[in-house]
Amino acid sequence: MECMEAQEVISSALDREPVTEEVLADAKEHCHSCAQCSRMVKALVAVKRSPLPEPSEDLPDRIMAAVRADSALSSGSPVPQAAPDDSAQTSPTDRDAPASVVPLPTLRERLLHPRNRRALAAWSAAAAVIFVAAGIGAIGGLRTIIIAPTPIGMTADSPATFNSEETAPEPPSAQEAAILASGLIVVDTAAYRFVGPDDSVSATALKEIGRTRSDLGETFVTEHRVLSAGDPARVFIARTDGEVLAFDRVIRSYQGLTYVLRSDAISSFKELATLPDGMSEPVSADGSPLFEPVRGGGESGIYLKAGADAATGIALPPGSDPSLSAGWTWWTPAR
Amino acid sequence: MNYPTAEDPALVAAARGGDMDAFETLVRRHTRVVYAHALRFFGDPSPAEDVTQEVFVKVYRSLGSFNEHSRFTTWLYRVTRNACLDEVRSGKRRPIPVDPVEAPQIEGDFSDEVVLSTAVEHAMRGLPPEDRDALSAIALFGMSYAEAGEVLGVPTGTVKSRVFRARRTLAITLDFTAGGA
Repeated sequence: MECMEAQEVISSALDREPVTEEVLADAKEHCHSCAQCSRMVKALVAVKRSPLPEPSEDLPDRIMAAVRADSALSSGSPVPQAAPDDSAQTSPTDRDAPASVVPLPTLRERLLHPRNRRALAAWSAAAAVIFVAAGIGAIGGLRTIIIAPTPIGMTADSPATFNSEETAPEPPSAQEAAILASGLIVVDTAAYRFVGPDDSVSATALKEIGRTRSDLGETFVTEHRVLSAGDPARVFIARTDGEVLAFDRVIRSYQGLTYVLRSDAISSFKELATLPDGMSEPVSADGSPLFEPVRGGGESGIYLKAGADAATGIALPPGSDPSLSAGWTWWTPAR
Repeated sequence: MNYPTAEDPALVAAARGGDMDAFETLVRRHTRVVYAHALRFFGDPSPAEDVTQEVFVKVYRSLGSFNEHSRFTTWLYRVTRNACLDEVRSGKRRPIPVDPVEAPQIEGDFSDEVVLSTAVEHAMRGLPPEDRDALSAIALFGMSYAEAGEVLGVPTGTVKSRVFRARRTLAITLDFTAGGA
């Protein structure tokens, strides 16, 4: 093998590109016996291992401040459109998607959606009552325990109880707000998360792919036709007033594969995912007897069905994503 | 969600649902890579940091268009590369010109990571832009030659050649035998 060829093979191997064992062995043998190539390979490795330059320590904080500011300014924007296919992102042109992409609705936008305003207003009203009462209590030297009214849309178990001796009441946490604003629905056991209204599609142009029962964040649970434009990653529900709501499939990746969250029926935006019908919660914290860990363990662990492989599905333990489920979740490979 | 250990697709999905903590995790995870690309492009930390910030704002705005079947880092590379090029096209910023012949010789032991990093970053700026872009896609953003070829609009073999040529140029420029590595 020639010097340049050997060095190029080593370079490719360093980048984890496919190199046959035979070719790699030839290249290594050459480099061992050639002083120039040996030095070059050491140099290639050193360059590859060179530490990256460090930006200012506060750069991530400044980035997040800019993102939050931009997010607040963009309220009122329409729902973003999912790219029809990957070509929109991988086109070898220098023009990128962002210039033509409609921003994702922010949490604030979704909270301000009519469906969520009542809950938000209730939170605000409850907070105002507490602030006033806490102020009176402070002026009079009183230390009154105040029980806030349960806001509309929240259950009695929701964290709406405050004590004036403690800190002033806070608005719903990001997690609570997310549960309030972005509900889950289930279509044929696959879970989808509410994205927002989408006025770019017409319900008449969509095809019905199933039915689901949901309150859509409102008072009553009713059955809805689930519609699709052909992309399994996004489905739609057309409300009786003609508004089309978009939902994105809840996914995660594991070992390069995309997995879809599976759940038993979810009939309210306030409900979280549970294991699909036919699967009961494991008895033990380690997942047994239903699941067994494949790596790690604890909250971040991945579990498989006992005796099965990842092609069957993967399970995540309680705590993996509290915005999705309070218990175990079951995920199967996307078709 | 256990943010530090969550994989990019899960964080992107959560961020699309309004989870700002998930997006912040992505920012903290990938800031250095974006910054490194921008620094090698502009040769100046100040515009590099500005562009890094712009990149993540653009990414956040565009989460809704991100195809869940794509790799986040591939998308991030495209946004980063285009953000740098856009800055130049719009006339807002210009990369600091580099003459590799006049590049300062970095003294010191390359077994010292700081010395090595400083020398490599100097040498990077002297690479032809197309070679540096290819090396950035592979070495910084972890793309395969095929993925980089698709994004850069060149055949896979061209990416392979550019990456190898870039590394070889760096090795020769840095004169590793003299540097002690």
